[in-house]
Amino acid sequence: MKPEFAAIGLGNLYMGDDAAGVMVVNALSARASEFPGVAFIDCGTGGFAVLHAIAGRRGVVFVDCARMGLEPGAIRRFAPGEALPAGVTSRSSHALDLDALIELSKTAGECPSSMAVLGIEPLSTEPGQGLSNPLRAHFDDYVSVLAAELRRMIGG
Amino acid sequence: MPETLIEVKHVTRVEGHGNIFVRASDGKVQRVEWQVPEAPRFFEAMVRGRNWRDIQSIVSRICGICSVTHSLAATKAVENAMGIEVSEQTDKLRILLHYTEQIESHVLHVGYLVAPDLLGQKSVVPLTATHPDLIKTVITLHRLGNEGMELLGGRMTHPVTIMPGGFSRLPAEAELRALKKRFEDAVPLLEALAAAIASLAGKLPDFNRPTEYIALVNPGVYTFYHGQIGSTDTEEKTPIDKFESVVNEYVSPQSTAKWTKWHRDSYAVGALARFNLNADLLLPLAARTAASLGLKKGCCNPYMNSVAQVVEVVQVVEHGIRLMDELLSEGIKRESPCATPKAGNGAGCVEAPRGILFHRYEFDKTGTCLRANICIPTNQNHANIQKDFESLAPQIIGRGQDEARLLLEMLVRSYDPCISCSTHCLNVTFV
Repeated sequence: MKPEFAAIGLGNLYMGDDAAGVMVVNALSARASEFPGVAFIDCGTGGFAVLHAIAGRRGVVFVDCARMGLEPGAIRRFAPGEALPAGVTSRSSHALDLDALIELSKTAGECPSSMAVLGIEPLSTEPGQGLSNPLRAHFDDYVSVLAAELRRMIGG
Repeated sequence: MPETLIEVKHVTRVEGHGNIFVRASDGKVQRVEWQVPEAPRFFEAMVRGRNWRDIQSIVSRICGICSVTHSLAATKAVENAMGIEVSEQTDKLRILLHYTEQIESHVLHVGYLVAPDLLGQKSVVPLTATHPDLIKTVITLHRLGNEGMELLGGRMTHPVTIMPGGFSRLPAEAELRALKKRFEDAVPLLEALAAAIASLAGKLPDFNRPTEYIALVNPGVYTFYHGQIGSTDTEEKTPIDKFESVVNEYVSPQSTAKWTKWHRDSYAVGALARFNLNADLLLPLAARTAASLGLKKGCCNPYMNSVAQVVEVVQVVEHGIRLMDELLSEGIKRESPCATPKAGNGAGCVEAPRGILFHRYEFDKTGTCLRANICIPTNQNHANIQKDFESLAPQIIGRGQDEARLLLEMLVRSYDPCISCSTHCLNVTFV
């Protein structure tokens, strides 16, 4: 049976801090037994594949590298609709356009009622493996924030 | 007549960044360019020094849309270099996995990225209100591709089951039966999609330019996986191991990506190229779909590439059902792929949704990668897009800036280019 909730990591493992979302979700998935009913999913740079990963679930938490104008390493929670994809004029299949995905999901009648995004401010998204120092220093905090968000969502 | 300047930075609804630049005065085009400003990502350097077992996982990250394709091309190249043979079962399952990616990618392109052009919208979002049934069909078909990839590849994107010699996980027969049922259930949806596209096909520009098309060819089958390199300009077939003599990569000052050419100044790859070289081998339903959409062998209208993609989705569903029938009647057998590394150099090739894709790797005796060469389909289409621009722009420049811009953008989109497949970091402004 499909889990009712999902933690979805987005990013490219080979582009520096872009990997943060995937790495955080993967790290918490090692404690999956603490989160029954939660699927831990690495969606990579999946674009529209995200539509299927969220389909029919009650709640979803996205974890993604996000340029928010904050200090590198900062993490911020926001809801879809609370943010504009600045400078992104396209509905590219590689740009995560949450508004478009949500509209499509609603049309299909399968949009989760509860969604949140945990954005992590990058320092560098240049080719290469491994997080930069500011993100590495806060990595355990990111995992804790995701765990708390999931518990809140499940409890709510 | 005043000067006309069309400058599009960047073209929307494509993967990656490409620019259109046109300058005209007195109704005459002075300069027209397809520009590719995307930063290179150096995957060929990234795999150097890596173990032969890791190559397909690393290169799958080149693209979130055609990650299976890159994994398969890499795995075939590694197997070629190491002299590894695979079973018939592995072959069929890989082709089936590859088909699920063709479904996923083609439906995404036609349904989410091209349909808005044909329906006069800037994105797919408004279509959720005006054409909800079409969008539901697109989502269902796209999901079939994605979830087929998840079953056979272990994930929706960036597969983890493909390995040199076989698979690390095989589907259970019950899972394969369920997938076959979903393929069968998809047939009426494909007919609905084809009917919708047929009703809009008149909106595709009537632009024809004689073009060399290049794709895999293999006797008796409309191939995406095995075969040799074929061209509409020659009867001669070229072995995969000689692909460098076909692509003839060169550097263009207006592009950060390499361009290619063979018998002419440019050539095209992709669904229309495959169709033009293999149309006689389509299965019955796919052939009927092509006829209903007015697609004929020898078509040189690049806008029809999207129509060819619809035909190909029907083809892979039809052939996929046959493959699953064969696999189920033979029974899924457990396999334990194992191989020892050895020094070697090998090339691998598959048809990505966007066209023919080549990988080459060289290994030392420990299986450490010494060098790599990857030639992706979009690189092979860049020069052809430029040549199309040079032919099309003078024909349409008199129609006004907005219409000319739209037709040029639609032309780029028709190639379904995957220009970068790089990071997708969000840029966020809070409201």
